[in-house]
Amino acid sequence: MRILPADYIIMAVYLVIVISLGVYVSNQGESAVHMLLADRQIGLYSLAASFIATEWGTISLVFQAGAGGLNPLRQLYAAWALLAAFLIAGFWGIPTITPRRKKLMTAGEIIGERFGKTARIIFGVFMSGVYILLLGALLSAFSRMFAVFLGTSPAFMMLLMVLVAVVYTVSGGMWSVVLTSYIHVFVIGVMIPVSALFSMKAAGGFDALFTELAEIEAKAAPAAATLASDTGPAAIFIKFLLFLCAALCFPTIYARACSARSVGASYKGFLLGAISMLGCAVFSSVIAASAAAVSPKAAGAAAFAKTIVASTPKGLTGLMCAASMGIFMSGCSAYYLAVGRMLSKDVAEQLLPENKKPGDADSIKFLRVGVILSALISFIIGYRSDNLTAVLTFFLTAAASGGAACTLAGVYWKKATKAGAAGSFLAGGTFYAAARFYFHRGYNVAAFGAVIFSFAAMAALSLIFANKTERAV
Amino acid sequence: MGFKMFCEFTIGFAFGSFLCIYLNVIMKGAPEIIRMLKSLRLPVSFR
Repeated sequence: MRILPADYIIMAVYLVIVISLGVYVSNQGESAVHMLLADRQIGLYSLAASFIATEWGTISLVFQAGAGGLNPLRQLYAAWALLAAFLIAGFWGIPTITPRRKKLMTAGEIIGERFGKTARIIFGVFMSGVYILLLGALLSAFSRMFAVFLGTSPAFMMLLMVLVAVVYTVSGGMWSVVLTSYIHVFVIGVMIPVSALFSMKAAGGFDALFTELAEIEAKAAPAAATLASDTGPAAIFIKFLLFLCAALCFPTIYARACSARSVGASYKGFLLGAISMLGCAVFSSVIAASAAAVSPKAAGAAAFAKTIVASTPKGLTGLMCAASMGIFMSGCSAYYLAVGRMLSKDVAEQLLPENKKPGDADSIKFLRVGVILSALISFIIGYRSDNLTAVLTFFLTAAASGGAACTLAGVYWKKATKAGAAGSFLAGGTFYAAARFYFHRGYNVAAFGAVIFSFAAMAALSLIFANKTERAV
Repeated sequence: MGFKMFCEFTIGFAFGSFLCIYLNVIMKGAPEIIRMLKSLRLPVSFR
């Protein structure tokens, strides 16, 4: 739209810096701890940077733009639910302290150690599905954004960014992901708040923004007490519940916590990341609220991008594009690595017979194939697809509720069994799918039911199959 | 009135808290990154 040659140079320089740093650190000994956990050398602040870079893309853009319509009020309330959920998980220490005490590497390993092979494979398959769909949704939202930024078809740009992310993830693993995250955060952390300020100014300042929010609030107020409401207390509580479930079981969080150099670093790094998420959700809410005044006709990711382009001064457009590239690539690389790790460690290696367990070198080969596969599949399903949100929320809800039930029961309940673990994933997913797609209930009812059903299935099946499957530890 | 205060507080808190975290992460993260790169024993020395 208003991209100048200088902006292309800024973007090219950015890509070159990221890929050279990513590939530069790859020239090291190849072990699973090196590739997956960066030799457990990550310090507190670089860990926080990695949390920020990875989770921002998902929170700000996928959930905002993927929903089709922009609802800044929902995002503003959800910001507090997000903060509360991640702070509770952070202070509780389940994702940060528990895996380190047990000296484990992945979230799947924790479930596998407690509930056996089958539960680990189900977890791996479910979570890989979540991340591949998440990557697809990320790709679909960003390709619509870059179509606005560049003014032409973004196919080449998207392919280039995916390629860069794949190359540095495959070559350096977690080391590259963390080091490039620092570069990404450096740019993202300036440009996103600044563009939020500029779009607020373009919309007419804080008062105009507030008028917009108050209008949405007045419209939503009569139905706020009902379960169907998007912004009522029930909806906020259910969001909080799901964010908490996600924080307790998502593999990208565990991977970071396990690669920190000390327990303290992983604990504090997670808390810093958690607080920054409120900022992220609020900035995207501010841009979305301004979109109504700045680009009223556009919708979804395009409205987001148009507002940014229309309000950001001309000289900063290149940097703004670089920041968007940063959000996209850091999210992608972390999720590619997570999928690669799950497909190799939690699925492929578990399916191999006991006497054919692969060594470190083979594991890394599996991991690389997994990374490339996830990039390929997510590109195919994500590019130009608009309808990923329904499937994605299904997978997210099922995996988060089942995963949280498994993790919590695994840590605190000695009677939990593998039948309970497998059942909790399937019960949550089945309830959500039935409520949402067959009985056409609202999202709130389906999601709340999924969480309750997961925990109930864990309890019931563990008690019923206690003696038949395994002896309680 | 309550809603306006909520909006003001949320937006203000978001900008303030993020600024603090960002400055900390960038300023204190840089020496960490250099230390981590040193620990990698790369072909180019950072001394």
